[in-house]
Amino acid sequence: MSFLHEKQSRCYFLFLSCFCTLMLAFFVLCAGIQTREAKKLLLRQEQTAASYLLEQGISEDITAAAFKNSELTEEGVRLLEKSGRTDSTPFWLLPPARRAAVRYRTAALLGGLGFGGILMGVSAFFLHRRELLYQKAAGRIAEFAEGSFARHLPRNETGTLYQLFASVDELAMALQSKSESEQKAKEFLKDMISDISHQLKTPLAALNMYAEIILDEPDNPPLVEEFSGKSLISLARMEQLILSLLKVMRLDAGNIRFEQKLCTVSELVSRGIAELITRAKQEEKQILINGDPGEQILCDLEWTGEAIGNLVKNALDHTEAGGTIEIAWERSLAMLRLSVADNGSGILPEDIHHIFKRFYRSKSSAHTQGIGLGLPLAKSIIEGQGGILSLQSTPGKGTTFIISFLTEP
Amino acid sequence: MEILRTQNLCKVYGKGDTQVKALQDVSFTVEKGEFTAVVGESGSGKSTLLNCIGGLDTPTSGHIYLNGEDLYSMKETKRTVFRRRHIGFIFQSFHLISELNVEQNIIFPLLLDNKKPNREQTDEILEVLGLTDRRTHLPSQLSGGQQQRVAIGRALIAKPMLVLADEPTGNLDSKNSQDVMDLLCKASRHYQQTVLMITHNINLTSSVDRVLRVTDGILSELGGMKV
Repeated sequence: MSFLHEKQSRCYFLFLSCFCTLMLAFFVLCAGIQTREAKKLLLRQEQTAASYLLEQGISEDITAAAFKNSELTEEGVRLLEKSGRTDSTPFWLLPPARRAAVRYRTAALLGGLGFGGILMGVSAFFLHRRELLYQKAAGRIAEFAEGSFARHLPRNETGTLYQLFASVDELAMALQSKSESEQKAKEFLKDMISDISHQLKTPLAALNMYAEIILDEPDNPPLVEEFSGKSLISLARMEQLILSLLKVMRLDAGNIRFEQKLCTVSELVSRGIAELITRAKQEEKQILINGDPGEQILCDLEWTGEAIGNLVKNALDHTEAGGTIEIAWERSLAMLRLSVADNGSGILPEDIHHIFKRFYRSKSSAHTQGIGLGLPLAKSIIEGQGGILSLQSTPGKGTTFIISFLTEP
Repeated sequence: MEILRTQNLCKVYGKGDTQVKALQDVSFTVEKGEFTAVVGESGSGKSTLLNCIGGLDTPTSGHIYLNGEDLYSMKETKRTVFRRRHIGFIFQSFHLISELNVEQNIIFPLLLDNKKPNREQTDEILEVLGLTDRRTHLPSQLSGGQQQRVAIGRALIAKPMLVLADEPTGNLDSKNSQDVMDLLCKASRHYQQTVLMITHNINLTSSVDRVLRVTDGILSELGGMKV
């Protein structure tokens, strides 16, 4: 009887129960009164008949016997017929019956009207209240349809109807959230396009300039060589940028399918830093590796390796010569944690907020080459595989990036 | 989208000389999907803040708006229903029901609201929290960290508007603490769940989106990692 969960339905049901009880009581009372009245009527009739018979001189015995008689004879019935007392005599010709009948009919009419009235009245009230509720809900839903989510459906009560309202309200919230994220996506795309065009403008302008210079003095081999070299560098930069951007956008769109294979962490790490070892040596920075070599991890080797590479590259960018970058991993009860720690300049608190934003370059990395996509890419790769990338940093002391993957199935 | 907004929230205990201003003019907003940590020493007022937001303690003045609804302008009965439907809680001491197994503990809030639990959703949440293998185990057969993960599952299953976590790692050792924090982060990102957590340990806040600090009832922003 789950309809009892809702307060209104419960009250109405309670009212109906009380109503039926009262009605039953009324009928029982009426039946009681009617039986008593019938008894009085019969007795009165017998008394008047007896009085008359005795007055007329009929003996007591015969009079008494007359009222005990329960046999019907034709003559008896016919006698009464002659004086107009049969079943088909309308009751208003029989005075005692008339009085009783009038009383009963009035009582029945009043009772019927009364009970009927109460039932109809309360039911109308209940249904009206519900109508108002439905209208209110319809109004709010219409507002939702128009995109206005300021007011909510009445949802804070128990009962299936209110659960329905709560569900519709949730639907509206989901709609609102969706439209907001669509808005954000549009903004993001706009920003991205402007960032891309900005990033590409510079190397394109440089290429233009180099080409013009070469065109101006085609007979100057050293010059041609110099500026051709510079052109190649710019082209490499552009290629790098475009590749990174494509990766980022594909990850965003969810078009990447990670091939998760079981591999050792050391294999993953060596893959990640393969291209950076030379650079580290050149810049006189140490890369230390610390962890159980046999430790295994389930991930996409190529992509995750790239993510780790990006973190190490970031560490190299922000560490002085002579600094150390330590890559360590450890398995805890439920997770495998891999950290990339450096003892470089650290990240300023006001930058932490923005560090995983695309194209964000903090003031401290103004001197380094880069587009600002390495960290956002790493984050997308790791989160796309169900992991978490977090960081801890102290300005002046260093930064630690932590990748956490769930290990238990 | 704004899920939570507090406006000039004040909570004062006692009167006169022994008056304690637990919260002073606290105003902040939390957007949908944000994981916000509130750090502070013992007695700084952070638990009071959580209790007020969770509808468990009436503020002295100020307003709390959850998804646009003023929590304390509702009648007590309505607030109870609202709280049950829209706010999930994670307590320091797990508070699992010892007679029910992992899966049953997690779907419990759905049963309280007369909703039918969805098998797929339950499977998903068990997977996200790494509890699939233990779905039929009783709380007594689980470690502290695993029990708290069940509590997290329970808080998330009804996809509430807001999850309030009161020192979720308070009863756990440091290894378990970091694990539970990471899983809470992961689960909240997966479901785009808005979480407000209080903790006294700032070292556990490396993976949250935003950190707020409460000192002597006053709230300040500490910055964070929100993208």
